[in-house]
Amino acid sequence: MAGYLLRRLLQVLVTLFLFVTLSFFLIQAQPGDYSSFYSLNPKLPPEVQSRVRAQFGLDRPLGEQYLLHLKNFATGNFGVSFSHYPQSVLEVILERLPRTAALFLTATVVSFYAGFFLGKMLAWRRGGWVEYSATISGVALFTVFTPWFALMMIWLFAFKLGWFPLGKFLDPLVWRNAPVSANQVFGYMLFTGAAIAVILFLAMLLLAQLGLRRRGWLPAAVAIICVASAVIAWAGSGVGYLALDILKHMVLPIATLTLISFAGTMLLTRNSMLETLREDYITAARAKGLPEKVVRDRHAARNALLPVVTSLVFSLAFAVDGGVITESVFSWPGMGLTLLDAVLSEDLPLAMGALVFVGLLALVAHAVADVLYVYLDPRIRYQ
Amino acid sequence: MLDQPSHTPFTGPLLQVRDLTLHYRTRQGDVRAVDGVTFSLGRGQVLGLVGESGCGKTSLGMGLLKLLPSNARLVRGEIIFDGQDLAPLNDAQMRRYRWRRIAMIFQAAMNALDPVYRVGEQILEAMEAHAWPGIEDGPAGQKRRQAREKVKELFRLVGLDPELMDRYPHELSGGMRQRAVIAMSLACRPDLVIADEPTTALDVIVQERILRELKSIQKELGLSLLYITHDVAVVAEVADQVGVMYAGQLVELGDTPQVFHQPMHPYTAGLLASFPSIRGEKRPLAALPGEPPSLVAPPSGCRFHPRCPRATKECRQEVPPVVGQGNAWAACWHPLGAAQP
Ligand SMILES: Nc1ncnc2c1ncn2[C@@H]1O[C@H](COP(=O)(O)OP(=O)(O)OP(=O)(O)O)[C@@H](O)[C@H]1O
Ligand code: SF4
Ligand SMILES: [Mg+2]
Repeated sequence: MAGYLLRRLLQVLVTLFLFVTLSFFLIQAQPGDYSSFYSLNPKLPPEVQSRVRAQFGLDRPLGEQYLLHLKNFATGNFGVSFSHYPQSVLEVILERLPRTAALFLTATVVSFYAGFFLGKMLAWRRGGWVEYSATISGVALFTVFTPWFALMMIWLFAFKLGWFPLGKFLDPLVWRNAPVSANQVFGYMLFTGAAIAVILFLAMLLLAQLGLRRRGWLPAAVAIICVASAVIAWAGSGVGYLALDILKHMVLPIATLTLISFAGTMLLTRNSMLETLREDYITAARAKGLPEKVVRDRHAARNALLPVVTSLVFSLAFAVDGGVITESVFSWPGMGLTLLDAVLSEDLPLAMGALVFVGLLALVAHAVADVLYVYLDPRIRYQ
Repeated sequence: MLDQPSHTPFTGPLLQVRDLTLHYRTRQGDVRAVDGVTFSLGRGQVLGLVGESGCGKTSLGMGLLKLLPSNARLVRGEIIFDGQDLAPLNDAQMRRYRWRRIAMIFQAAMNALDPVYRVGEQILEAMEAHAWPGIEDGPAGQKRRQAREKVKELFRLVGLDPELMDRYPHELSGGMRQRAVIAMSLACRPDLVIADEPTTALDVIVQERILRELKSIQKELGLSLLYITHDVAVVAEVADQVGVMYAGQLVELGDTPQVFHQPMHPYTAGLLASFPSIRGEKRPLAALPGEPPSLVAPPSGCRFHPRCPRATKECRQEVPPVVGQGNAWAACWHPLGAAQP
């Protein structure tokens, strides 16, 4: 297992290296002289220009530029952003990366969990209008044109019903006299979310150790207590209304991303589960007199999970696409929108940095899903 | 050693199957996989069930546990196990019989183990589902530890290294998995084990060894065994009684030596002739010409008539009578050896 992890890490590093190299030469190959474009940009004061020129070796030969590029990348130096001057590219990215990560992580986890649960149930209770309508709406969601779907979500829930804001990260009116910055509040929100996740995970481990996990209500009780205490803590902090504002802005983009990726998981789980249910070990589990729920969850669903996780690994690239589109439709200032804006405003350093980080995000997610799979399937665990 | 299966006041045969009829609904029509099958099996006895591929052996075996695919239907009949008819029971009621009283060794036993759990875990799981049969009452952890010891004992009984219980199925060879599955079938101390071609996937030497071990375990534990196979040589080795199945029906039943030396039904004779090893003669195989009939629209009268060398007009038109009595009979108009009816 340790050997596998090491190899996987090496793979990520090599891929990253190739990715960085490719991005460098792609930008070099663009029409126009990159270096003069960079150093003569009128938005930058002359002293910054000369510093940039030295740092990126813009007056040096290509090979040397490339080596400098690698070195700068390794040290996290991506230069200054044209459009966000005087912020550096890294500063812009570090501000926005968590927003995208939060969006993605929540949508992925929720959609996976919900999709898996529904797919499992559909396969278990075949026939009837429930399976029929769920399959139809699943296929519809799976094939829908993402921008159109996102706009429909806005139209219905923000415009018609007015339940949620139309887009963006926060409502300036709410934040006019805010004692803290939005990034700070958001940071604390992320921290709260992570803390809840970790506590829940540890609680599950503990319950499993004590042999109490079969009691369905216990994990639910732990979850409710965690969330309730988080809500109380925020309500008492005095900035709870600010967090609520950000939260409101998160609902629609997360719901959109979730719905789009949920359908694929559901349909795939259903198929995979139908396949698993035909296996001999399922008949054996029934013959052993195990309760139906145990046959369904412990045996059928557990095995049906494997191909679903595999496909999750592959669909992550697609999810990046959907993320960029969703962010731009909802004007959610995350990595996707940053990348898009940077390209449109010809802010090349930022575009390059954002591209590298989006790639990095996808790589990491990919590797995590991969390792998860190895953990889930004992047949490849020790190879 | 392991305890004997628990005995109950009911003193009749352990299993009495009467007129069991089982259909599969398909687009082509109802497949009559099991049709009016009647037999009984005493305690500590071994009944061998032979027949060609597709004659309904597995359907019958699974039908006894009522583990049938969704398109199957129990049309009529009784499955009287230890005095209780299982036919009308629902799934929750059946669960108390499954594995605890009637266990199964599957046709594809190699695939009967879930690939993602350790072998021993899958055995413990069955014991847990039946409230740890044969384990002293106590705290959950202690019962589990005792059950682990029991599994180790079972592993030794079937000739496996007890350490293997903490391996995953893919880490075991085919023969080892087969033994593990046999150990699993014994874990809840059942009264009856249904073994559906438990050795066909293995090579001949392993097959032979496992067969002998199974037989000795059966004797030692006093189990009743329903041994399903298409291989008459295997039946000759393990079974006290033989039932011969053809096209969903039982066509002959009798004590093993009787059936093997003086078969009454022409199909039995044909089946024996196609396995030269029994009498040690070298004869060409396939002494049974023709194909097994369709079970959707089986032949009229005697279902064997299109392939039977003795077939007459009445065979084609009328259902044959049962000759012989009790636990030694054949359904035929013109049985071999016996006086003509
Ligand atoms: N789920 C099903 N739906 C429809 N027909 C089925 C189904 N399962 C089995 N059958 C049919 O029922 C008949 C009996 O099948 P069964 O598996 O019981 O035979 P078998 O004697 O065990 O054969 P084998 O020696 O190949 O294992 C076969 O003709 C088979 O095609
Ligand atoms: S009844 Fe007739 S056809 Fe059937 S086995 Fe007997 S002799 Fe053959
Ligand atoms: Mg079979």
